[in-house]
Amino acid sequence: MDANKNSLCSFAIPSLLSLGFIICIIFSYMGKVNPDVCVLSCQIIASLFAILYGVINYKKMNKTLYMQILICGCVCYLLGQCYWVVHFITFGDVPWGSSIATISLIGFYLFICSAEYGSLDSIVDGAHDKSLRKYRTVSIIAPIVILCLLVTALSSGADKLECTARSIPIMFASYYTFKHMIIPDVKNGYTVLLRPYYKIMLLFYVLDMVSMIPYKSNGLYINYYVEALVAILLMFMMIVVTRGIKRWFI
Amino acid sequence: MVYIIFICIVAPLSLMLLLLKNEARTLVLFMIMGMLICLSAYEINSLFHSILGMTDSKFTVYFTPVSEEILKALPVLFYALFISDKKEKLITVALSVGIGFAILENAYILVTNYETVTVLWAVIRGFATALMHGICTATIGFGAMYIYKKRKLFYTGTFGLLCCACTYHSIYNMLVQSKYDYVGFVLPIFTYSTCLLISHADKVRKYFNTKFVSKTRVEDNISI
Repeated sequence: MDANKNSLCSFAIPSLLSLGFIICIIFSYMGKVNPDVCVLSCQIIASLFAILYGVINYKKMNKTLYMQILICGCVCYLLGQCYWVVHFITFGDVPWGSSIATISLIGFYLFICSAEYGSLDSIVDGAHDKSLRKYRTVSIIAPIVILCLLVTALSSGADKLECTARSIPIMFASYYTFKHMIIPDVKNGYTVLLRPYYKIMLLFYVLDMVSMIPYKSNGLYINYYVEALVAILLMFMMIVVTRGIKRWFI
Repeated sequence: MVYIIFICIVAPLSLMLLLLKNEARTLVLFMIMGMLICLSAYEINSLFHSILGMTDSKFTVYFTPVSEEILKALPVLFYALFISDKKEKLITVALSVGIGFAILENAYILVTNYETVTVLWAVIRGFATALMHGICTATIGFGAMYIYKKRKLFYTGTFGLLCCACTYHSIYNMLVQSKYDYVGFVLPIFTYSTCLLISHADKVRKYFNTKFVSKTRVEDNISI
């Protein structure tokens, strides 16, 4: 009963925030709210929530390195959005294309890679067991999907440098995320408890790639709003991964 | 001009190296290295500024943070690779590099703008720039400490932290060039205070718990 109550409370705030963001996006599409303000607000509030939630629960999880890395990733993501806010305030616009914010997004994915490849992979697949070879092979599907989305984005006229630079760490992270989702971690059971988190992250990667495909409708770039949806996923990602890591110590 | 300033600052500090021992000598040495990195950054930035043809404001926002953070990371990585990868030593060395960088940068700006600078400018700029450069370099130090302990984590984590440092530096440069320069100057001080508070959160909590517990015990004794 208490566990159900806790999970309801955990999901209540991000659900309400998500509803607010979606209403804001609809108003922005109708032209009542500036799209830059709408999307940036969503991203900043969502990433702030993710960081605060992670930091508050960090001590309860025995200060695990994995959680520390994910919080650093969210901080990097927030810094990228702060860059856009400051750019908007100082220069008056949020330009398309590669910029310093791209570096912060690359940094976010590098932190995800640190968490999966650097921290967890040696525990889950460190022995390079031959029986797990089929899972390593099947996991290549994830980076191939990202590559297809990259090709789609480039052929649709997206910024080549930005798309390519962002896609490389996403491909790397998606391989390890997918591998850890499907691999049977019988000995330790770490990745089994993180499967819901891996599913959200795979959706996160796909949506982030989709946000790079320029698509105009009603005079607005719809892919821009996908970035706000990506930020919403970040909130749920942090809640789900926290619940998974807490169960490591039960 | 920047070379003259460099020699004027580094020459006396180099003499200090002969008098210092152990950790103090290492910190001053890396502070000198930070100034050397600042000199290299000046040359590299001047070269790329002429190649890229950007305006000064856009160049300091888009290119300078990346080049300076990469250059500042080099002595920290050198220390982690060849001398010690212990967290406390790495962070202090990284801070020294950042502060050394800030010393030469501030001295150069002071000399080139001596007619407009004031004491207030010196105080704010001195603390803000030193903290900003120190924080950014110390961030990379956190990643560098895994160079031998967890090699896989080191590769991806250090680059992630470098991206964080570049973005933070860029935000700082954007703010100090805008009409919100006071926000830019307060930002590193606020960040440093927050990091200090978080790192000493347990001590602060223990202090307040002890004070509260001892106060209630005294009150209980009085009531009895």
